[in-house]
Amino acid sequence: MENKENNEITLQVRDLSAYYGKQQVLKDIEMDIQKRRITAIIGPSGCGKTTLIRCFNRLFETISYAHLSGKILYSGKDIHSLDPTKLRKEIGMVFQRPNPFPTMNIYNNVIAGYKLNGVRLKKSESDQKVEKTLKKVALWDEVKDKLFQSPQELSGGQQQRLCIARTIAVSPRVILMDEPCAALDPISTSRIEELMLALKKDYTIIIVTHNMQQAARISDFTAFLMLGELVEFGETDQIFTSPKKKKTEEYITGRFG
Amino acid sequence: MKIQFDIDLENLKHMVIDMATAVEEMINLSNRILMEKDSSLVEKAYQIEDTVNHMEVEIEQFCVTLIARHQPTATDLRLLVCVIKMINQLERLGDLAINIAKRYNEFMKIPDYLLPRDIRFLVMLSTQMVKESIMAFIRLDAEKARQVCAMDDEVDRLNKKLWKDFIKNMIDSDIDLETGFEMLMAGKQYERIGDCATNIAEEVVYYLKGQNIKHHFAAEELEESSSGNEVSLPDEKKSPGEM
Repeated sequence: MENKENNEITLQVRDLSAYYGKQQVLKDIEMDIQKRRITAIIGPSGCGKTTLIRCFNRLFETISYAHLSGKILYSGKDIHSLDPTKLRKEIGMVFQRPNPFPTMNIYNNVIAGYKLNGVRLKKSESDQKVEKTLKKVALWDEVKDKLFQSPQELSGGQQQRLCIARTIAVSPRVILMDEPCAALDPISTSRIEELMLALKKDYTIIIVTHNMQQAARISDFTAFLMLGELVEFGETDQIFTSPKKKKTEEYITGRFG
Repeated sequence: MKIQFDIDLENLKHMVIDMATAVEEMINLSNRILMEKDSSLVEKAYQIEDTVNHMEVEIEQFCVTLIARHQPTATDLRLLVCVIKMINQLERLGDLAINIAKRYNEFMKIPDYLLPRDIRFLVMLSTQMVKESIMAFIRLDAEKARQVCAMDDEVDRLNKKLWKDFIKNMIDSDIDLETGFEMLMAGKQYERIGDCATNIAEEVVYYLKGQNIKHHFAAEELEESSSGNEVSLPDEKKSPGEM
């Protein structure tokens, strides 16, 4: 894979293997994630996509019998030499099912990252942050009159955008998204995709998706995983028009998987 | 659903082959009109042209439907792009064949002994290029397609020689200006037939290998866009002439 200048690479994966007990789920993964680009990870169910992105923010190691070998470098530093809480502030995550905190209102959900870490913001600061962040995710106009209501009253798409707002409120550099549109209708999906394209100006985004057309629509780079191995990694245009590997061709044309 | 798509793609290929067969027949008819002065063939050429034009529209619409329904990728996508461009070139080949056929009255004035050997070679070579480019598509033969591209240089050379010889012999020979002009125009049509065949061959290479070999500078880009298979660099070729 072509490696551009180092200052354009946010995450470097070197010889990464991951295990749940004795079962190996990732094998010798090598890839570079470019800054302020969208990288999609595709592959059949069980190929290791979610495991891979959970390695980036060290969520993988929260499972007691999970372990890995190899390295992941974040801005040149091994992530295992960094404080995991600080790392997860810089590498945020959005999950498949929208999960706004049900005990907090919309306003507090946005600044939950600060509250839960004991950071006290002045009211003017938090008001500003909430408005700015909700505008960034194109949710402000829809919720500005109900900021202190429960997020459960929002639609699925709105809740997911609220979760994205919660993630970016703490100013991460990387956003991991694990099938963020899987539970959403097509129109909500389209809005989240538009949001991702707008956010990539400021954030590096890595998205796991089963929807190949989504990967083709929004990503700059695509990684194809199969049975824990990285089969092919490259620019999305090249992967979807002229893949180099036969397995990639078979998967993206739907001839298997 | 994928099985249906495979069936649709096979049907599409058959439609393209049918159109190519009709166009080849038109070119053969035009060749005979020029060489054998057989006026009975002119009407038949016009009849086939109608069919070819309808086929182009039908195939194009089918391609659009397939793209809308299946959002194809990789080889499937390249096949559809190749077909859309190929049928455009086939339709132009039909037009060129008609251009030759409709000048029958003028060709009648050229005595056989004045028909230069170069024109005969030009006719033979460009006709062969059309045939080979279509065979490359049918047989999925990228190497054959590249060989067609290489033949275009010889077609261009023959056409240029035709012009040079005409100017050189204009005073000395008993070819009058009008007759000579008709021979040059015939030569030009065949040179354009060679260009269309080359364009088809280029699309076949793109379909099979994912490599764009149009224009000589595309050779440098081959390394970056390579599908991973070993390929030889294409010969330098000129841009296709105006159709």
